[in-house]
Amino acid sequence: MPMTMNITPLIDVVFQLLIFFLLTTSFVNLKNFDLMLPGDRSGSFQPASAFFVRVRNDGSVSIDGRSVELDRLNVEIAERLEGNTSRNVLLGVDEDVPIQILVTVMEKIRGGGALNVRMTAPGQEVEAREEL
Amino acid sequence: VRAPLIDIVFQLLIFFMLTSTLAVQDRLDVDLPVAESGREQSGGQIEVLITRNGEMAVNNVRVPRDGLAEALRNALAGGAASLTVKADAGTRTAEVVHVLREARGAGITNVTIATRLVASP
Repeated sequence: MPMTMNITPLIDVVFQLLIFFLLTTSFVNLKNFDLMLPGDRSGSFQPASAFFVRVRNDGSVSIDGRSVELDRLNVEIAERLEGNTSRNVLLGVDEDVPIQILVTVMEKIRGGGALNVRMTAPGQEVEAREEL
Repeated sequence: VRAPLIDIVFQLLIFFMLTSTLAVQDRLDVDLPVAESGREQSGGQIEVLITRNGEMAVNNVRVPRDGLAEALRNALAGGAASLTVKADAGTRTAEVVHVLREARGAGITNVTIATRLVASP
């Protein structure tokens, strides 16, 4: 009489495990993005030599008062940073701007070679910086 | 007949076991902003969820907007000194800045924003 092993219960268990891992797996690729807080005094940030990038509620972007296309922001930043040793950028973002735009803008600024990007508090401080 | 089937199932099982990062279900529905760069997430952080409507949760526990400072202080007592903001892509910047202010007030200096990585075009 040939020996046959009954592996049906084993397959049941393995299927259960398989379904568990199928359902609990997440392949979402999560990454983190550093934020420098408003008013953060730490680090080597020098506001005096910084460019001021402003993002308005309607989605328009300007560098030191001159409006630029979002697509060209990294190029513009790179041009301005040329020969500038400090590489600081102040970022003023209006209150109603969705953070997807904030993340995109920060990426572009870093892509342009800026080392320190700091957000300024919305409101009066933004207006105050723009006067400079 | 049965042996090849169980071979395949075992292969799949091992694949999912090795690749899976167990998903902890977030308490609030959040669709993260996408980015083309960023660095790996490190563990041991306070997580702040913010939805499109401005609802908030700290470490997966819902908190009212004005209870955020207290929730952050309690979370700090748990040991973690850095914070990750998991905010919906459509969240207003004002909501994120509110969290940043409260974090600063609680003495947290290392703040990151969570993004979903997409390949650059």
